[in-house]
Amino acid sequence: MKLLFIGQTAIWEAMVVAEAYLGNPHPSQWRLWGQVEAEKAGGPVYIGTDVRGNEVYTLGVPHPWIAANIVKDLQEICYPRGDKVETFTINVGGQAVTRLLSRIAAWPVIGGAAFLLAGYRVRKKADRLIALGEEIARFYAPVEKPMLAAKPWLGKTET
Amino acid sequence: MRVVYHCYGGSHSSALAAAIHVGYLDPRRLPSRRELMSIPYYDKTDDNDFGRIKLVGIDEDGNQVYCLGQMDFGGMSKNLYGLLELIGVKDEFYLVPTMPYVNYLLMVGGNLSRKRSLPLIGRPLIVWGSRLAYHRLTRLVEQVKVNIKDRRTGG
Repeated sequence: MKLLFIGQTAIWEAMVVAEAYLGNPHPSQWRLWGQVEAEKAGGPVYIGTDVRGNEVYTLGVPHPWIAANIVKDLQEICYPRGDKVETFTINVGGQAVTRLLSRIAAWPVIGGAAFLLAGYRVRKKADRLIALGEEIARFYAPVEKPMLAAKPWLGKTET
Repeated sequence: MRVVYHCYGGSHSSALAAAIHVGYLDPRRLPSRRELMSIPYYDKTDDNDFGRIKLVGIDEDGNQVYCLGQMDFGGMSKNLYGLLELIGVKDEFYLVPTMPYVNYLLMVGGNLSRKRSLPLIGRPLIVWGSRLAYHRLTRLVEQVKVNIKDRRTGG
């Protein structure tokens, strides 16, 4: 299965949620943080593979819900062929501004300032985005942990 | 092969091109208002239809023809092809953008009829705009049919 996180940009908010989903909540682990070039080619951006072997992608479009509809319909039309794709639309405020700043980041002179501002704005809401990614991970790719009893059984039997 | 004509709303230029493709309209003469209004999905969509891929019909070669409204999808074809590649069905689809064939009458008429819910004012403009764009759209459809045949034969 493939998981597609759809936001208004592929390399800011949606990417943070996807990385948190993959168990990478620290900014130093975000390989594609602000990589405007990665988004320029268009289409989904590969982020990584989760513990269950699901490939994780992000997509940046002005209206994420439309992309989710398109994916759903494409899968229905092609059923049973094609890979299963699960979509998650990222509904966090301020994405339109991030998208605009991300576009301006490619401009000369003021591009650098726009890039820094976009990064600052996303970092400010990173906690919420990370919590969202971790929440999704709990349902879709729970990390296997050994079962632990509250009290160890000592092997005593009632006599 | 599945042919998807796509534009902003999915209810005018793409629906019209799809209707020409499957043979609902005669490409040699301009359609009447009645013929236009009888096209499936033509000026009949609402906000819930954005991103919905709707089957219009099947052409003489057995290709399924769809129309799609996707608003401003941000690099429309690139993102659509990207999604097709993600699902692994890119080779089955042929995407045709019809936005370059949309004139101002279709834009204003479509906005009034669909977005502002004023079909009484918008519809005459849409019909006028559709008739103006008709011959360009028929040429587009002819080219699409040739391209599909070429793709099938590996040309």
